[in-house]
Amino acid sequence: MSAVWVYAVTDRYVPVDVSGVHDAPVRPIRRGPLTAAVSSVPLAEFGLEPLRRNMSELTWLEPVARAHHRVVARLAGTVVPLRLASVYRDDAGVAALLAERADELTTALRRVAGCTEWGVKAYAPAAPPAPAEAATADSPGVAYLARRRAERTARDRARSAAVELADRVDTTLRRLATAHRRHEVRDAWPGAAAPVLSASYLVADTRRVEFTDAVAALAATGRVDLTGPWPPYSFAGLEQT
Amino acid sequence: MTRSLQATGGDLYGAGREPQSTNLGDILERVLDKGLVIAGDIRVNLLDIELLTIKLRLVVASLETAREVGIDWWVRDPWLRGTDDVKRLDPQRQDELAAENDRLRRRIGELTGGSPELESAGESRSEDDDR
Repeated sequence: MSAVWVYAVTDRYVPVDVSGVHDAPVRPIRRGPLTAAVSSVPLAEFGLEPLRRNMSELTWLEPVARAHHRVVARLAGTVVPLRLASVYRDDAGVAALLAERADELTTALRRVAGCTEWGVKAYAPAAPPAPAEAATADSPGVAYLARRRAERTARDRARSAAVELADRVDTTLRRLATAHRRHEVRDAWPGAAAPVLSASYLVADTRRVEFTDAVAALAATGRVDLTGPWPPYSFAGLEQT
Repeated sequence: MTRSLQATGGDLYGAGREPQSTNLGDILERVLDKGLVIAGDIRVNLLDIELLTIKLRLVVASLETAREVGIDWWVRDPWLRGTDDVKRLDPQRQDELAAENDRLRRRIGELTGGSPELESAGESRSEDDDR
C-alpha cells in the first residue's frame, strides 16, 4: 500500500533529475494548467500514526526534509512549495486538490512568478566589555549599585541599537522586495547569538543584483547573513497579501 | 551563497550542485514552518503537538547536533526557560502547563532514562535571564 507525497504545484512541469523522498522517482499529476510534483511513499511509514512518530525523529526527518527541498528546488517554472508532509491516499486526491483550488493556486503562482525568496538575519553587535571598576572610596553597597546601574544602561543601549539595526535592515530591503515577511525572532540557545531580525523577502529576478548589493552594503555595517535564493516557501500561502 | 540566475530553470537554486550543503536548520525552518498548507488525506498537525515533540526530542536526543544546525525554537517555551514566564499566565493555564510538563517529563524519562540536558538548559537560561 502506498500513499502520495506532494512536493509542490507548478505551472510548467519538466521532469526532474533528482529522486524524491526515500529515493522514489518524482512524477507529475496534471489537471488543466496546473501540475503537482509527487512521488509514492509507503503507507506503512507515511500513514497518520507512523508519520506522527517519524516526524519527531531527527534522523528520519533530515533526509525527508532534504529530499523535499531538493525536489522543490529543482522544479522548473513557477513553483508553489507545499509544507512538509502533505500526503494523499492516491493520485485522485491530488487531482481533486488541483481542480478544487485551481483559482487560489493560480493566484499563488502568479504572486511568486519571476521571483525568488531570500532569507536575511541580522545580529546585534557584541555587547561592549563591562567598564573597568573605578577605584572608589564608596562603600561596597554603593559600588555594587553603581555597577548594576552601569550594566543596565549598557544593556538598554545594546537593546535599542539592536532594534535600530533590525528596522534599518528591514526598511532598506523591503523597498527592493515584491513582498516581505518578518518572522518572529527566536531566542538563541544560551551562549549563541540570536538574530535581532529574521525576515524573508520575495525578490523579482530583475532586482536580484540590486537586492544582494543592498544586503552586502548592510553587511559592511554589521552582521547581516543572507541565504538564498530559495523557492518561495514563505510566500506560498493562499491567504497572504 | 549568492548564485547567478540560470534562465532555463531547473537549477535556479543550485540544488543539483550542492545537495547537502544547505544548512539543515535553514531547510527545516522553511519546510516545517512555511510552504503552502493543504488539507491532505493524511493530516499531521505540525503546528500543535508534533512540533513540541520534535523540539523536545531534539533537545534530549541531539542537543549538540541541534545547536550545530542552529535550531533553537524550543527555548521560547516558558517551562523550558524557567518559571518567570509561567508565573504571568493565569492559574488554570499554569496548571495545564504543569500537568503537560509532568507528562512530557515522564515520557522523556521513558525515552532516555533521564534528561540531564533539559534540566541544566532550563537552569542556565533562568540565571541568564536577569530582568
